Amino acid sequence: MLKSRGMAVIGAFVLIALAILVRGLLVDGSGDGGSEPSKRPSGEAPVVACTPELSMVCAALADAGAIASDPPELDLADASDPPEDIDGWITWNPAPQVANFDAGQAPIWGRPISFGRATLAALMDPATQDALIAACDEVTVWACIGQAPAADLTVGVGEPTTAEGLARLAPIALALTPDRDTSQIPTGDLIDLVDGPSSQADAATMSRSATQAGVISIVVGPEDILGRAAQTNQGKDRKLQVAVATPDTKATVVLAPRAGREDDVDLACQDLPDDATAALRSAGVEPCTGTVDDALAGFLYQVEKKVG
Amino acid sequence: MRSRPNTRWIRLLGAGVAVAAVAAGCSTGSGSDSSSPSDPFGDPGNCTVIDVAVSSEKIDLMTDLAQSFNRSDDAELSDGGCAFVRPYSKASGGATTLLAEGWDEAAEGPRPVIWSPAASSWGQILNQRLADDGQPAMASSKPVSFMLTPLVIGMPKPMADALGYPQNPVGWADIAQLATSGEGWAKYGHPEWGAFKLGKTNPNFSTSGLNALIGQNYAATGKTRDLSTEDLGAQKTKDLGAQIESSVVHYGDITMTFLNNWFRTDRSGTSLLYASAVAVEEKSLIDYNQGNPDGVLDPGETPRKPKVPLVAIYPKEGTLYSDNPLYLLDADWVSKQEKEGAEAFIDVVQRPANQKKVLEYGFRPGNPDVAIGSPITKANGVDPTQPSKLLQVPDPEVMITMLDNWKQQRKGARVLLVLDVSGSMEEPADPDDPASDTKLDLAKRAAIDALDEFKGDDEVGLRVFSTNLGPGEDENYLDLLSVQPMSTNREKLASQIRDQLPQNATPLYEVTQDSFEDMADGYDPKRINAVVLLTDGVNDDGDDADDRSQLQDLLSTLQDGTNGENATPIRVFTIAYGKQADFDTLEQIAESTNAAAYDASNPATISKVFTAVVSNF
Repeated sequence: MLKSRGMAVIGAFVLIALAILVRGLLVDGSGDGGSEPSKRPSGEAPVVACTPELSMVCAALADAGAIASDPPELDLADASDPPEDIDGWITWNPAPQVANFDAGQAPIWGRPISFGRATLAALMDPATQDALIAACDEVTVWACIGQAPAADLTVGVGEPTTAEGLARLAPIALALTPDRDTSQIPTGDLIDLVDGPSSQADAATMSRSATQAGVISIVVGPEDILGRAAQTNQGKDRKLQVAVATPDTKATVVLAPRAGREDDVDLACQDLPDDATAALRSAGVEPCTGTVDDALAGFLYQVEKKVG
Repeated sequence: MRSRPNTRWIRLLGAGVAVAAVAAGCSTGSGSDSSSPSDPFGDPGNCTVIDVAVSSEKIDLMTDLAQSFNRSDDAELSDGGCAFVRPYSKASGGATTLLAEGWDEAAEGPRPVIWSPAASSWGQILNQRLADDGQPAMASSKPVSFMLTPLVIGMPKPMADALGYPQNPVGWADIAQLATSGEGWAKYGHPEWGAFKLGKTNPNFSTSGLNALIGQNYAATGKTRDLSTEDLGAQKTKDLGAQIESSVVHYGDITMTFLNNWFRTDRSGTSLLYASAVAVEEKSLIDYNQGNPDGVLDPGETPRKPKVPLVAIYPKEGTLYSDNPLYLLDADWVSKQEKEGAEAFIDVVQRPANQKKVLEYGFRPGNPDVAIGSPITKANGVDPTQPSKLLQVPDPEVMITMLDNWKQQRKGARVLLVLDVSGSMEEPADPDDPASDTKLDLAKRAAIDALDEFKGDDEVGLRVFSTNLGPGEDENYLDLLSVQPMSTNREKLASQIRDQLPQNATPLYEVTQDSFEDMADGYDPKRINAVVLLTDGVNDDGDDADDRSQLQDLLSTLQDGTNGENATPIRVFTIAYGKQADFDTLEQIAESTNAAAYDASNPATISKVFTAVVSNF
């Protein structure tokens, strides 16, 4: 009798536990409709993708076992329909929210957390500075740098179809658009800007190119990356200088969890392994600074659509 | 916003340059392809061999770097083994085609683990061609740019001084003006230099020729980017192109032909009469000024600086860089060990110590930590602070139109084909296979195929030579077709070539001298006047007692007709066909007319060689 009562109690516990588990799954899987709940066994490291120029951050996290090994690359163009196994994305803000806009009503990415931020600046040589001054007097404002094509100067801002490129283009697009009114985005001017150089690439590549004569007039990117190029021997020979333009603009690196899988990607900036913070610094980012601000996501989504 | 690369252009350019690039390997200058790794490396032992296909202009540098790497601890692999890097020369276009269409190791040497073409545009072309065939990309979209060199207009210093360069910037528009000025150099106080003459490679075959063509088209528009088909169709663009092309000495597949000829004429003090300017890469100009015009120092060869150095003119309208990428190929034949060794090598060549070697060879280091210094100095005729503008590579469809237009704009040709039909041409092309085609069979096919490269306006004739020819069996050559426009001659030429049979001996000197003189009699200054001479033997006219004096007379005739203010230069391009051909003599003949000799000692290469020869027109 006692034995059968005990079995009944155990059975009741099992049923309650199952009910809680099922409820949890239903709750996690409903609401946003953008993602499936994780099928990852407990304890297995999440799959986190990185934007290409941040791949060293992912590699460092994988080496430390914080995320699954062989982390994939993911950029803005594919972020509205990413592979199902990707649980999180380390990228430049506001790419996750832009991807969500692109995906439609069902968000793909959940609320991102900041991993750090970089001050955006411009790299140029004295001759370029002179040419800019002739065009618009005050070279250290983003609006002036946006006028560079009219002065027959080329600007390296990256491709606006990439998360990094969109973040770099942001201050210029904002400066050239009255009242952030998306109907007044100067599409032609921005296309001229992006199409100006013979090719666009990430800030590290373009600032390296800027050390070669004639390749590019101005490079926009994280201040630290530009500073490194200016400090190379070829950069010094060309007297490259870094100008922090106004208004002061930051680019933020974020980790965006897959919507509905927030608990699977439990990575706080303060807990990042040393190699990961070093990789962030290598990308020109000061780790664990800044907060996430998606206020520009809608504006930049329109910029990406018009210019990308 | 970016347009997808146009497949037709990619195929056209890839195939065109491929053919020529491989053909270049058969020609005499340096920069030849080696179908297998060269010997300087010795036995790799048990090490994992990393084969590296590199464009010809950097083979010496890569050999140097590989030898250092192979001796170093950097070559150690994680499994305890070692890597052994082995570079070999493979022209960019040729490698592109081989990687896209299948690399036959028996014919072309080992498949590369690392590939370093002259410019990363070749990697894009490769990936596009693979994608067209439903295959995955092999070349990374972000290769390491190992080193750079810009395209410049090389000009003898006295001439650059006369133009006031660099105080007065010079560009393609100025070249066009010089080319069409009836006064020539007299306008600048130097009537003794004659007309302005430009050396420029064929843009269907050579990256520098293509870059020069892009530059001149941009120059007509005043743009540095977004060149459009509408721009190309504008009368101003067509006029400028035609003006520049009108001054061309001849075209060709490699710039070294021009540099070697310049260097040789420098010794006799006639370099200013051979050419006034050549579109070349900055690195090649540095080599020239350092006394190494072909960029390769053979064992025992000592550089000797030219009497008249060149100056690099960075076109005021802008120019393009060759960026020399290093691709670790994403190919199924690359093993894990090879990948590891290749990554180590790519890392090593970017280190400052090795990037200083890059500089020593005249390239601009890809690693910005290495300052640009000697030999990229004004003392060597170049300016490290230039170029001031970079031109955008046009969209593929624009390139197609540009190349199509060039076919009509390029300088017309007036050519006499002189073919050896002596008895030895009856021998099998493959000595090990008596049943193989005869040498004459292969030569006929190659010559007929090469006729396609002539435009309708070109004038071409056919002469065959041997002894005892003609109705009376007393002629040493026969004119089968006089020099006439290809629009009327094309089919007849093909038919006549096809009908030839091997017979008798080889009166080489007589036919060469008469052909040169006959062409000089009808010299047309508006065309490239040339003789293409193919022979498989030595002079054999039945009397070898006078061979030496006959050759001296011939060379004197050729030199007298080629040099001097009032010369009527007939370029004699020679093809040494088969192992018995007298290449040294044919080279003397070609050089006497400031042309080039081509080596087809392996008869299997004759088709490629013929294509390379015809690229001069």
